[in-house]
Amino acid sequence: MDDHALRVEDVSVRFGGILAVDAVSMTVRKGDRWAVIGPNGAGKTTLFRAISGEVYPTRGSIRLHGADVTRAPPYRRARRGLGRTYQVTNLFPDLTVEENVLIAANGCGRTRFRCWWPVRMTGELGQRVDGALGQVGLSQRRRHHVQELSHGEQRQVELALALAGRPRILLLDEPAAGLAASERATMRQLIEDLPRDLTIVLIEHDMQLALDLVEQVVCLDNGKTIAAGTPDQIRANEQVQMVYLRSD
Amino acid sequence: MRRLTSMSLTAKVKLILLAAAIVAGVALPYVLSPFLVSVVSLALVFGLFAMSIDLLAGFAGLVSVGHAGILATAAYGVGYVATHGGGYVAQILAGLGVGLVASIVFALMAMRTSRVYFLLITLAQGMIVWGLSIRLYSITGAENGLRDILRPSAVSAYWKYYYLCLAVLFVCGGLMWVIVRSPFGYGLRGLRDSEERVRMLGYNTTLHKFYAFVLSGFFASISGVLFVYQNEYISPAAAEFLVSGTGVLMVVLGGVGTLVGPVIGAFIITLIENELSAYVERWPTVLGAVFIITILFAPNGLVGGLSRLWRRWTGPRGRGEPETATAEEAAETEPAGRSAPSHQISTGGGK
Repeated sequence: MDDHALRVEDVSVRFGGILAVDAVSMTVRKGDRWAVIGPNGAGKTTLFRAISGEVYPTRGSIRLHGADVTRAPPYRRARRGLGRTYQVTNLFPDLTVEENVLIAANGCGRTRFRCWWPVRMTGELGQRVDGALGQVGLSQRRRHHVQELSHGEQRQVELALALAGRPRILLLDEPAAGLAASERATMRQLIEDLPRDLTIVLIEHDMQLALDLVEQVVCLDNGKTIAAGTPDQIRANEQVQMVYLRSD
Repeated sequence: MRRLTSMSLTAKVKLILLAAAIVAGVALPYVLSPFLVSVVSLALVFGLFAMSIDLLAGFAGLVSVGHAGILATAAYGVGYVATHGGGYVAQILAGLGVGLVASIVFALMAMRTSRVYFLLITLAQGMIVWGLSIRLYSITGAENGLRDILRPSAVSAYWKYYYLCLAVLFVCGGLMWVIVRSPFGYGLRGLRDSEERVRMLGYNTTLHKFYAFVLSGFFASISGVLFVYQNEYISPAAAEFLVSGTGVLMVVLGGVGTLVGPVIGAFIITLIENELSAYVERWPTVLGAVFIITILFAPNGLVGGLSRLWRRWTGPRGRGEPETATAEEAAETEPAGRSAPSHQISTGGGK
């Protein structure tokens, strides 16, 4: 039995003449929390897109809980327990918070093709919706249209969508992007409070936030891994500091 | 009774409007001339046709401009069996059967596409059916069409046929109402808003599109069966792009994604075509003006526009209550926006 939740081996992603991700490897054990950091254009989001199946790697392999998913479509990976949030809030704008989470909870459920009875917020589906909304603290806002919510709350709905499918691995793409200080603190607390058995890999520009939340860090630059280790090792790494000083 | 009193104001208004529509629908043959009742029957048929387009366009974001091909296929199925001496049950089953087969074939062709590519494929599908209906003389009668497709005797009278159309529209409308509120329907709404997102949530979007197309095609087939009995005749004109385009315009006029809106759109367009054309020679100009005014002042269609007005009137703003800041408003006052990510790396302190 593979002890690893996610194994990325020698993955490269090429777009024409641009090598966006260059031979990146990472092995994430179950329950681990990892951060992928790096300046803009380092290839972080492309790596996420490769892991989630939105682009296929040009080279290398990706395994989720021991299963090779390198060429699997995103929905197969989602059903294998992979959830993700997006850098830019990607919700269903015409629907309420509850309906947004319902769509997410329904995706990996057995009822997604059931068309002969209206949705009822009971049973497993209702539990999933309630659970996800409770986890992000939006139970009271469930009847509001997502357009009525603040940006911070929309980021929380984004997280609820990822959680509603009951993932075992969660990819968080800049969860605190564009948030005010108080909202950032809320988001940080929400991520900290996620179950410890949930494997998390996050991308975050806010280094302090990222390094405080995780146990392992990978730093990318120009698509390549330039450093990997614990947050303290990354903080002390001169190459990482050079990259960040350069980008500033 | 307790359930009724606990309903929201909007739900009560919807219930009242539904009851009024049923009463008006039942009373219509008693107050209108036979000709007008026939025009309303045709509007009901096109209402169902437009609803089938709305099921795809409004809830899955897939605008089909070839649905007349499915309507015509079903109509030809009925006509072919009728002209070869088949009974009514055989006629209806043949109509629905070939309509369903056409829907499945069309769905297989279109399910991997979206947006303008979906539109173009469905346009081609409609044109193929139109072309075949002209070429296959032995089956379709080419330009002459198929004549003398008589209605079943039980509904041969104009007013009986009207009630049949009304009943079928209510039943099919009810089924579509259930579908769009089912887990499958919510998947479609997700697909409409962000295909990339729903794929990442576990949906096989290709399969979802396939089922949605087949369901929509099935309802278009039912409208095709009603259409051929309404006219007692079918010709290639039924498969023309104009019919598909008019169906889409009915949806846009009434309100995309509302189900009721397309029926209202079908009533307006059918009445303008059949009634106004008797008095105004340039009635297409009037139709064009109606569209332009609708798009300018109610881009979500008549029902969409009225719903928005109603929400504004009954919502927090209408009651003068403050609302929370929206994402756009928050972004404007954002102290640390996305354009200025904090790249600082702390060298002190740890976890």
